[in-house]
Amino acid sequence: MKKTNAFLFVLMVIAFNSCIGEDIINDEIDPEIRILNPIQSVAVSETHQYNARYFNSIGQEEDASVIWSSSDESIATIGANGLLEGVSIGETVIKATVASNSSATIEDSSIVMITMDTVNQDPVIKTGNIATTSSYTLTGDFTIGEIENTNDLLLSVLDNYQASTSLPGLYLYLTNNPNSINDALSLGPVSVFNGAHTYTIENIGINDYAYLLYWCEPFGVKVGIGTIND
Amino acid sequence: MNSKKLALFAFLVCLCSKPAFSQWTKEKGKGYYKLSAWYLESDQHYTDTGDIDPNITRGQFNVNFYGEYGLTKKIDVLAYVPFFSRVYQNDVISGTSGGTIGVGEDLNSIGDIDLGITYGIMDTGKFALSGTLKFGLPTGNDSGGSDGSYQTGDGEFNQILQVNLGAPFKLGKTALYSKAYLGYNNRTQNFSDEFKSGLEIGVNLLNEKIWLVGRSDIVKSLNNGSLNAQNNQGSIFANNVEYVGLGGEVSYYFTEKIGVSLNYTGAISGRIIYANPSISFGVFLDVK
Repeated sequence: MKKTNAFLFVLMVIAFNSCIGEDIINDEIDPEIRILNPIQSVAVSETHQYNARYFNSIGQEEDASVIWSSSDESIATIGANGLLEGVSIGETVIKATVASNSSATIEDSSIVMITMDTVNQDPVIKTGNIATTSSYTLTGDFTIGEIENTNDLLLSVLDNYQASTSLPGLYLYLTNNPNSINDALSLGPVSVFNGAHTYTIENIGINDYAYLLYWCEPFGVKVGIGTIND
Repeated sequence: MNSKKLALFAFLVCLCSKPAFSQWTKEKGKGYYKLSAWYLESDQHYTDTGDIDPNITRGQFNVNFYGEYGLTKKIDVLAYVPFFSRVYQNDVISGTSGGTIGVGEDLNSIGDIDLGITYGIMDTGKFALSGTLKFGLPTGNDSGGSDGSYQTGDGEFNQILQVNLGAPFKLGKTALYSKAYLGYNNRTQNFSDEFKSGLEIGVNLLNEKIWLVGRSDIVKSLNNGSLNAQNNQGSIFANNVEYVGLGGEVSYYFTEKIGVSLNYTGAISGRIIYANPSISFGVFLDVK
């Protein structure tokens, strides 16, 4: 009877210890301010409303007081709310700044040209390279661009793309933290493991996210990353 | 409907649950019965390249019954029944903010049951040759949890045929035995079939009070199954698990029939399997 009780005790100890615990991951990144809607040109006397978003040290959007400035106010002025107005023909640098706790200033900038006439802006297309962060094969190039006359984006993974079909539960995300899917936008499970394919992403701005993140859902780890470059 | 993790799971469980010390079939009416608890917690795994990558901690625990019974002098029946099987994954916490990034999950279920029969082909006293036919029944849950990856079974029907060879020998006055097996696992549901082999050496100490056993198992995929991440999205593992497992077990007989055993087993190399060791503890009844 004592032996049976001892065995049951061991079972209980093991069962008790097989409980859900916590894994702590390092997801710290540098905070950033990002101008979401830079513009190539604005006509004299016309305006453009700039928007910027602040992402904290885990890549989450956070309210912040943004200070707008123009490097040459004789070319264009910008108000405290980010409204730019073209003054005269020329080029100026628009800067969005956020005060941080550290001594470093967090800022983003964009060059804008003030022209005589309105110039239609071409859809923005960005590029990047997918690289593995694991020992699974994952490689390729991609472009991500605005679809004209929509609020949607087209992500085109190019024909040099290759991913291991042994990757379990592979998902693709757009994220602002290359180490985490926290606040990331899921593009769903990856179903193409070789060659060109596309994703249409609805109601997303071209500057809303900074990375493609390939994530192994069951293992809870990233297996690849692609920085979205200008 | 797949699971390589389950393949490792099943492998480790089976390795830990093997009845000790006998290559030879039981006498009629004799048997070996063991009630075990098995535990594996893993924060890393072998990838398809054989390298080790990290993963969020997952745990597996089961309570299982293993039994062998001699129907005749030459025929044994065997059963492995993991009647309680638990899978869980830890919460994922931000080291920066302390916030929860991913909420852990768990699943309790029965596992996959193995039933089989062993036939004694030859026993010369110097060596014994037998054949085993074993069926792995898909009684476990192969798609539990929010993403279908919390599995206590692989959802497929295994048919394993293996040949076992065993021989007792002595080193000085110390009694030892060795045994080996070769097997083929025919798998359904588009899983690749597997070639299996293993080696075991056991030594008897303190006048049959203690058995020390070392085991090695190898599983090699034939890569003939079409199941992969491309056509089976969402499951935790794709097909074609391979590994070399190494384990040790110590058993202590309290009486002639009753004892306890402790097993420690891990994969020393592999593909798409956990890279942490498992432990099991059991109480057995050895009716000789």
